[in-house]
Formats: sequence, structure tokens, C-alpha cells
Amino acid sequence: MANYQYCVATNWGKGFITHEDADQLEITGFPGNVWKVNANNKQGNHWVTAVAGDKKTLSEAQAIVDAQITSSQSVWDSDNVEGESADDKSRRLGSRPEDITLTE
Amino acid sequence: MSEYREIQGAAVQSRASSTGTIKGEIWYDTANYKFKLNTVTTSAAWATGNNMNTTRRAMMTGSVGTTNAGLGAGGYVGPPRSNACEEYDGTNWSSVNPTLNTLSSRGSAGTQTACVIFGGNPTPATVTATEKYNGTSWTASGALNAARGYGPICAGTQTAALAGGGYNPPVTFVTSVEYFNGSTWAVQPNTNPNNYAGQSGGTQTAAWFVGAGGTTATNNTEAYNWNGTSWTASGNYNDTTRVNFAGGGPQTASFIAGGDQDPGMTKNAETYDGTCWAAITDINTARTYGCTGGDSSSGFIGGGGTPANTTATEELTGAGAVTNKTLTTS
Repeated sequence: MANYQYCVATNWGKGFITHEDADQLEITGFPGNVWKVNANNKQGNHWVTAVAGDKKTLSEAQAIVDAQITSSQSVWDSDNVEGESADDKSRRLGSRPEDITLTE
Repeated sequence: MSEYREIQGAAVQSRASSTGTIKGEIWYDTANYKFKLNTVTTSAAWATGNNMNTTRRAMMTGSVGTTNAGLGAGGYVGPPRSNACEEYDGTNWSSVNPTLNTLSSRGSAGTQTACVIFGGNPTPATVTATEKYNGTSWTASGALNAARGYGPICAGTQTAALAGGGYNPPVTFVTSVEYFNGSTWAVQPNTNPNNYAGQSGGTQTAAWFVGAGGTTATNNTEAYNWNGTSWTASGNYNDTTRVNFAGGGPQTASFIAGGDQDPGMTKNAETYDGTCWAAITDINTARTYGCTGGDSSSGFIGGGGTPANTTATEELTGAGAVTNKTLTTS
């Protein structure tokens, strides 16, 4: 049985995740407005409903995240300064965005 | 199954009543014949705040203002950089007058109505530029003696700020410490362990920093405290592999959160009391730094890279009061 469920929801700001939500649930945001929250959990289900989350399967959520990461990698790859070393590029931009593997 | 001794580093102690207890410790109360736990009434937690107006990361290292009166300025849109400035009132971000220079990764100190930002990155060099904000507009001030960007060490107020560390490509890891008196910067006699892309805070006479890069990066696993004269290594922090994380606050009540870990990013957050680091509840979305305000009891982070730049804000409410609880089977 999966420990987590996924949904897509737009973070509108204040109240999207309350301190109580954060204290009682394990909520994680990913690129592409993908959110992971506890599965088989009444409060987790209520949170998905409260934020009007569009539930996604693991593979659907993974595809959305992958697309966002690929886009971020492309932006990173094309952001170059003439004469800049690889180390200095990493210092300036941070490390190249890494693939993220979602888990159940 | 883990044992208490393995986790805590010591067996459960016997104590008379609650004498000499330590936060997080379980002990046997020999006066009342009960097992007890010294804990907090509520855990620290991060909630979402309303989003910033401009999507960006790498605005300013250090904390400016508070959760109810914060500030975010400059930053990297990806490319280009931004000169946008926004004020946070604890509910909403409002766009205000832009900074004079369009830079990212600057040092910062002070409050929403009296702050100073300095150094920073154009592309790819760093600068000595210093700007002051009075809650309405920005004015140029005396230049740093050493150009420093990529997230220098910073602490203090608009009239008593500290600058340290930073990186000036292609090869200079800045080690000088400078004091700002509201008008000019003066180099101090002692240097600091070269550092950039970490976090810092405090005052000219009681500052701290942790992380991250530099020529001795592998040794930067400890926090360092500044007493107005020199840096002293303090406690190890927990997640030492991160760079470009958010954080700030005074030496005795600060926090750090998130960061770039290569590979990936982290959600980890920690608080610092001047001596010890404690892991707290993670932030909700892993990210690099954008801007920060407040301290370990009430703070915020705004913007950052997830890796795509974000406008998202998260607000920290620190742990509740320390209390002793009696352990029962119910």
C-alpha cells in the first residue's frame, strides 16, 4: 500500500499549507505544482480536497516533474558566460538541476 | 529497533524530580517514580505565505527585518538579474522602489525601514557597491574595500553592519572582515575562514556563519561565531552538504533552511542557539535561497530556486515552550 499520494495544485499562498497541516502531515512540493502528501490518511485526503488538488498517479506525477526538470536543465545548460569555468558556473547558478524520482 | 542509548548517546538517567534535565531528554524521576520527557508544547512548522510578485532566486544572504516587516531585493531571474524590491507585511508582498544596481547574491543587514545591502554579482565578477534603504528609497553609500559576491557573510544593522567572506571570480576567496558605520566600510584586523554561499547573521559583536564554499570547503562543517574580534568554531550543523541555503537571525536564535545539495535540493531546516544546531520540521518545498527575515521563533523565506525560480513564501513558527511531560502507556 502506498504511503503517499500525489496531486497537482496551485500554491495560492497564505493558508495553502497551514502550520497545523505542516505539523500533522508530510507535505512536499515538487516542480510543476506537484505535491506529495500522506496517503490512506483522512487529514491528507482533506488537504488534497481543500487545495482543490487534481490527483495524479505516481507515473503521471513523475512525468510532470520530469518535464519541469528537463526545462530547468535546458535553461541551466544555455546560461553561459564567455570565459567562465565550469566551477564558476556552478557557483553562479548552483549545480545543474538533477532528475527527481518520486516514490510511493 | 533503535535503542534510546544509540539515539541519545547515553542511557536513560535517574534524576531527582526534574533537576538538570535537557531538552529532548527522557529520564526516570526517582522522586515521583515516573518516566518523564523534556519536550516542547508544539513543534516548529512551516506554513505557506502569499507569493512574491517577482519570480527570482539569490536575492540576499542574511535576514532583513521580520516576518511582519520583511524585504526582498535584487536577485537572479535567470538571466537577467532583477532590481525589483518588495516589502512583506506578514500577509502580502508589495512592490516598492527598485534598487539602484541590478545584482544578485548580495549581503544584507538591518530592517525593512533601515537596511543596507552590499556586494553582489553582475556577470560574472563581483562588486563593491553598497546601497541603503529607508523604507521608501535607495541611496548609494560607501563602497566595500573588497569586492565580494556569491552570498557573502553579513550581519548587523544599517549603521553597524559586518561583511565577510564572499567570492570574487575567477580565483579570489575573500577573507577580509569589514565593518560599516552607516557611511563607510573599514577593514578589521582579523580575517575569517573564507566562505560564501552559506548563511550568517547576528551583530558586529556577536555574529555567526555556516557553510559552504571556499578553498577549505571540506572543513566548513561547523558554525563560526564572531565576538567582535575573531571567529571561533562552534557546533557542527547537521546537513553540511548544502550550499545556497536560506537563513538568518541573531547568534542565539537563528535558522537555516533548504539549499542546493548536488545532486538535488534539500528541504532540511535547522535552528542554532549559538552553540548547538537542532533539526526542525522541513520546509515544504526544497529550494535554494531567495530572501529571508526574522529568526528561529518567527521567520520567513521568500523566492528561491526549486530549481525553477519561484515566488513562493514559507513562514516559520518556532517550537513552543519547553515543558516536562510524564510518559504513560495511554
